[in-house]
This record gives sequence, C-alpha cells and structure tokens, in this order.
Amino acid sequence: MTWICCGSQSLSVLSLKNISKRFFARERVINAVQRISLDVASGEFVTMVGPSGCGKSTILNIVSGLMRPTKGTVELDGRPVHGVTREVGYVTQQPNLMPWRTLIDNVSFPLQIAGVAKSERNDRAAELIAMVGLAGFEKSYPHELSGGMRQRANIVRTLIYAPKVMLMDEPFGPLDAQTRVVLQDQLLEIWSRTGVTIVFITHDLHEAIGLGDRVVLMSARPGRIIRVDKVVMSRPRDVFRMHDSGEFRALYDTIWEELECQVRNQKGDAPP
Amino acid sequence: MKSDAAEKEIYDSQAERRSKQRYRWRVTIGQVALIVLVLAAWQFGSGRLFDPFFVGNPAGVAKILIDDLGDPRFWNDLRVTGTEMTLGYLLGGLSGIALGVLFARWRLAADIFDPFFAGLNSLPRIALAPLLVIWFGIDIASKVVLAATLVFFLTFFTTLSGIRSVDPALVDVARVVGANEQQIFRYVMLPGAAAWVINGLKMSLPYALIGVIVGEFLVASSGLGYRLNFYSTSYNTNGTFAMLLVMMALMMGLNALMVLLERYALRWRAEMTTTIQPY
Repeated sequence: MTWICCGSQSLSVLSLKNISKRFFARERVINAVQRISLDVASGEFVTMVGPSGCGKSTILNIVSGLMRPTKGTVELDGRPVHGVTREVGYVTQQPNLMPWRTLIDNVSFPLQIAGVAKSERNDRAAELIAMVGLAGFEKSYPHELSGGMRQRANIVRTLIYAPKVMLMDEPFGPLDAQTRVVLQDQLLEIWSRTGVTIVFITHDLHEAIGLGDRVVLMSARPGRIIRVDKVVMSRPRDVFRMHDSGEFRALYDTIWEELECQVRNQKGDAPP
Repeated sequence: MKSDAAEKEIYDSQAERRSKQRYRWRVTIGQVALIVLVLAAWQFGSGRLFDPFFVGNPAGVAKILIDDLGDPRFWNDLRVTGTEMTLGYLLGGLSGIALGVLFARWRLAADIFDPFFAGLNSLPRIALAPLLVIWFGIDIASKVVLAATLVFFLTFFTTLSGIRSVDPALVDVARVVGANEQQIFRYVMLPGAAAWVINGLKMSLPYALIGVIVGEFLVASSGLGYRLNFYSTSYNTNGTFAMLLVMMALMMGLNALMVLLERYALRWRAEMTTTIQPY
C-alpha cells in the first residue's frame, strides 16, 4: 500500500512503519488505526483525508511522540524515535496559545524553552510575526486577536524552532471560508520558502488536493490507508482559482467516489 | 484581514468609553443614595419605631466614631488587629500556596491527606480557639494562628484545584516543543493556576479578620474585637455599630487593594471579575 516517491526512498525524512493503535475504553477495544505505513520525502507536503473519527489525529499524536503506538515504529531519518523530539513540530486544530502570554511571548515560547536569550528570541519571533502579517500585534493578548490571527500565531510558534517535520491537524478547520483560503495561500508560501516537510490532516478534500503533493485517503475506523494519489498540478499553485482546473476536478472526483463510500459506511458517530 | 476586536477598538472606543463612564456614575450615585436612605430610615425609625437601646442611631454612632478616632487607644487596637490579621493572612496564605503547589506535584500525598484536610477545615474555629489559647498564649500568637487556619485551607484548596485545572492541551504544547517537567511547571502550570490562586487569596481575606476577631473575643486585652466585645457587653449599641463599621471599612479598603492586584496580575484576561464574592 506504500507509495514510493519516484524510487527515492532513501530521501524519506519520516517513515511510519506498520503503525497500529488500540484503545481500551470501558470493556471495549477500539482499533483506532491499523497497519499504517507511509514514507514522507524531505520537503514533501503530504495531506491526509478521511471520514471523521478515522484516527487521523491519532496518527499525528503518535508521530509527535505524545502517544505510543500499540504496534509499529516511527522513524526520522531512518532512526526510530521514542517520545517527543524537537525535530517534529505539531500545529493543533485549536490555536492553544497561552492566554497569559502576549503574541510575541507565545511565538517565542519554544526558544525560551531552549534557553535562547530574550533579545534574540524576540527578534526571531517579530520576524515571523511580520511574515504572517501580524506586525503591530506583538503585545496583544490572545483574547484580543481573531481566530485567524491566533491560528497564524500557532503556526509560526512551530516554525520558530525550525523542526524538520511539521504536523498539522486540521489547522484551518474552525476558520471561516475566506480566512481559510488566505491562510492556505500563506502556508504554501511559508512551505516553499522554508522547505519544511509537512503532514497535513484535513476533512476537506478541496484543501487536501489544493495543498498536497500527495493525498493519502483513509478509511472509516479502524483507520487504514486506502489509496495514495499524487497531485500533478504545478507549483506555485493559486489556491484562489485552482479549483476550476481540469486536473483538479478529475482527481477530486476520483478520490471523492471512494471517500463518499467510506463516509456512508461509517457506523454511527464515533468518539474520537 | 483585520481582527474584529481591533476594528471595534478604532471605531467604537469613544462612544463605548462614554457609555461606560455614564454607567459607572449611575452605580456610584445609586450607592450614595442607598447609604443616605438607610441612614435616614435608621435615624428616623430609632426612637419612633424601635427602642434606641436595641438599634442605636446614626448620630450616636457618628459621635462614638469621632471620639474613638481621637483616642490613641483606638488606634492601638486597630494596629494590634491589623498586625494579627496581616501575620495570619501571610502565614496561612503562603503555607496554603506552598502546600497546594507541593501536593499538585505529589498526587499520592494529596490523595492521602484529602479527607483529613476536608475534615479539619470543617471544624468550627470558635471551638478550636480555646485550645489555641492554651498552646499559643493569650497574646497575638493565638490570634495569628487562628486566622491562619482559616486562610490556609482556602488558599490550599484553590491552589491545588487551579493547578489541576490547567488545560492539558497547553501542557502538550510545551511538551512537544521539548519542555521538561520543571519548565512545564514553571511556564504552564503556575501561570495557568494564577487566577485560582488570586481568587483564593481574595476570598480568604475576610476570613483573616474573622479569625482574629474570634480570637480577640475569647481573650484579649487589646484589638478591635476586644473593643467590640467591650462595647457590646456594656450594652453600648452605638459603640458596637461603630466598631462593625470600622471593620467593614477596613475590609472594603483591603478588598479594593486585592482587586487592583488581581487586575494587574490577570491583565491578560478578556473580562474583569466582579468584586462580588461567592459566599
């Protein structure tokens, strides 16, 4: 089931090898994900779609090191990883900014943890804040910012310590449609500028195709990889207009047929 | 793309500030009117509707207040009570926060002590007071300890709950960027619990006074409680009311200070808490 990128497997920065996760909840065993194997090349943008409750977030929790897999291993640059590592950043669906810290103090938090001097970390944070158009709000507290602004802060908080791999769990899910497209555009810009490897989860197929080099389709629970499609559209992409292109439509229809099947097959509303 | 909050700031701030100011004025006028009304009804009713022996009257209370304010013995009483309160509050508050922080990190100890602490905290302090007098003497120490036992449990429980209620998602954020347990505690747990700790300190402030006054009632040779007891046992209703007013004024002043402190420490919060306390 693994899709090997142009035979250049040696370049893969992140490998998921046969990952399974099982939860025990009140006399019930829940198989969240089963036998997930995936190689992600350095600098690649991989998106994952699937019906809700298919264990997408479980995969990211495992890759980030916050959760242990029941079976299987996660490898970074060919070495197995256990626990959290600063080489993997995690952008959660909720901004999770610390409400008692100003924007700049939130963004520079990972550098503070690493013991970087205050003036240096503030310089770097200010630079990133300006890059996502938040200059002038450095001293604002999270409650004074809009949802889109908070999410941008969440993203640059991860970028600031330059992890090799950035995991993103439906980061634009709670945002309104316009803000969403603007942030998608900004993310592609950041990605091409920094060369960071991204694994991006979404339930929106438009977003998955629009952003990704490859789209990984997952089944309803237990989550398994059903298919992996390469997105052939050229870069840089125009996230505002590309949905009309023939290539986009063709891929959308192909993947949607299977995704629809999975969504309909889902038994009830599953807990996460 | 601008934030809604920022736009509002620009366009509505003038009008909003004026309307807020108007509202504050109305609150102040209402409060003054309430005081005047109560005093007038009291003055009018005393001697006409009620026996002044039982209810006193505002003019009489004012006279005693003025006399007392010119009496160095009153100021000595205020100083003694103030000292006892401050020491009891600091002792109880600091040890409550310290133990709350310790138990938040040491779950086993917290679970072992939990029912006993709940039991101890439910003891009526008036029942404990004679014992404390035997242990700590009739001077200031026994009052300090009595106040501290009240303040301690409140700040302990709020500190513990505060640290336990910190959003686990924020802890994960810190963990993912490589924070160790010390750093998580310092940068996430403590600031996350600050609102609870400050609220505990604010709520326990009146209890520091209660503890001290109970102690002074029992046995003392100076202090506001002693003075209050002196007036009430000599059937001086106006004197009793005068001391109650002094205590009220003292507590309102201290509470206002706490509100300022809270406002500064929690300046990152969206809306300010009210000054009304939940008891």
